[in-house]
Amino acid sequence: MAFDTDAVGVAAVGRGAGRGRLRGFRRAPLAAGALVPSPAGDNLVSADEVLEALSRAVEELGGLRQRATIVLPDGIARLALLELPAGAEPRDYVRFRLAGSLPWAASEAAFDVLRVGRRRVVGAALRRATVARYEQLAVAAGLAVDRVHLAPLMAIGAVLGRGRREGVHVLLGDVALCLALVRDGELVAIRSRRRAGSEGEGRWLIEEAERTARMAGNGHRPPDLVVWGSGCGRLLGSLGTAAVPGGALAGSAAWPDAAEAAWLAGALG
Amino acid sequence: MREQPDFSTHPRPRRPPAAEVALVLAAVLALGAASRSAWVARREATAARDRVSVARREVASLESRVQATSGRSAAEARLLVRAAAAAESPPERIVAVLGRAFPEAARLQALTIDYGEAVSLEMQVVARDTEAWDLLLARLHEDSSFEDVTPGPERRDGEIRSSISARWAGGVR
Repeated sequence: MAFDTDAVGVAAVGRGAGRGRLRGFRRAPLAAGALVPSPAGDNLVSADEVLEALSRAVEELGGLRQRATIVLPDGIARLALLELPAGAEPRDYVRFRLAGSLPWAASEAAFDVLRVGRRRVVGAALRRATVARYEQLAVAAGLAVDRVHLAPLMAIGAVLGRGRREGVHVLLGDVALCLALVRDGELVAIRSRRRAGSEGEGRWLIEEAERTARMAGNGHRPPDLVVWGSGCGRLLGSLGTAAVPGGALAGSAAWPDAAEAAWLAGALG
Repeated sequence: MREQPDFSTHPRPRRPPAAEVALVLAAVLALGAASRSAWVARREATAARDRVSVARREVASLESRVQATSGRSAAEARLLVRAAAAAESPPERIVAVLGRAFPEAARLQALTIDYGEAVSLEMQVVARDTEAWDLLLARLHEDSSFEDVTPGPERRDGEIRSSISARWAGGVR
């Protein structure tokens, strides 16, 4: 189950030979302002409404018989692409690098890493109280929580697991996005931004992608733009030939709402 | 699916990925196969040790039989040589030849004939005087039936008593 500003999405994923299979998907829209992704504050502004949406999506899917995985939205975590020193324990190193930049005390944070290279990781820090609020909501909906993942990290997992196409991958959440630059088959830069949310978002995205490429030392030519996630269909329409869509979700034809869930691409592998 | 970090406030132990489970299973199977191979090898080694020990016992038995056979052959060979020598040089012939060498003043008191690879003679002699003694020795030296004629210590108390050893050559000509 994935939470974001616009909706709660619930997917039933089966396991095949090495890859997941989408067995069902439901999307329950949320009223504006019911859920506001934020690193420090309470995200669930209208917890009852979010709970009702979650319960409805689960019910429409026929109930969940297994333990559930929560996917937290973009915009609530501090992310950083880090090169691990030799012998460093990944979580400890991420804690060391990110603790000073957090808007809350490091003792209140949960740190973890997504391995993206031999010694390269994406480190993430979340406030535990924020995670706990989402877990409590799931329990209130009668669900047993197995794991808690982060939507942008799942989308990065999908980028790296699907051919590692060269360019800047734009991983869209409802209100935030993550820019991931892939060069020579390696993830070399990531940036998190609040979405522009305006008519000129396409132009703004191109500039942000070029800035990301320049920051990673490649300003010689405009990077290819690969767009995944929430609202990518509308955005691709406005970008024309300047961007291409990310990978299609296997088996999503029966559930069109699932096509723009970048996190789901990561869940399916 | 790439292994995703888990931010649960009460994380459960991570389930091992299918690849790791498969590796562990493969390792267990390999360990089982290795254990079975080791057990079979140990059993074969024990059987081989038993066979070696049986073979060693058989070799020892054969060696002792060969040694016994060889010893008997040597003794038999010696007996054959002695028998051949005795047949070729009978005592009466030796005594007859000796009789011709003895002067009247000397007499043969005892004669020992040893039939081996050679026929050895040991004579106990009494000579009445020096002339008879010298004549006896001279005749024995001259007679080609005898070789290596060696007189022993002389005891003179009127008569000369001594021994003479020689090798019989009369039978090999």
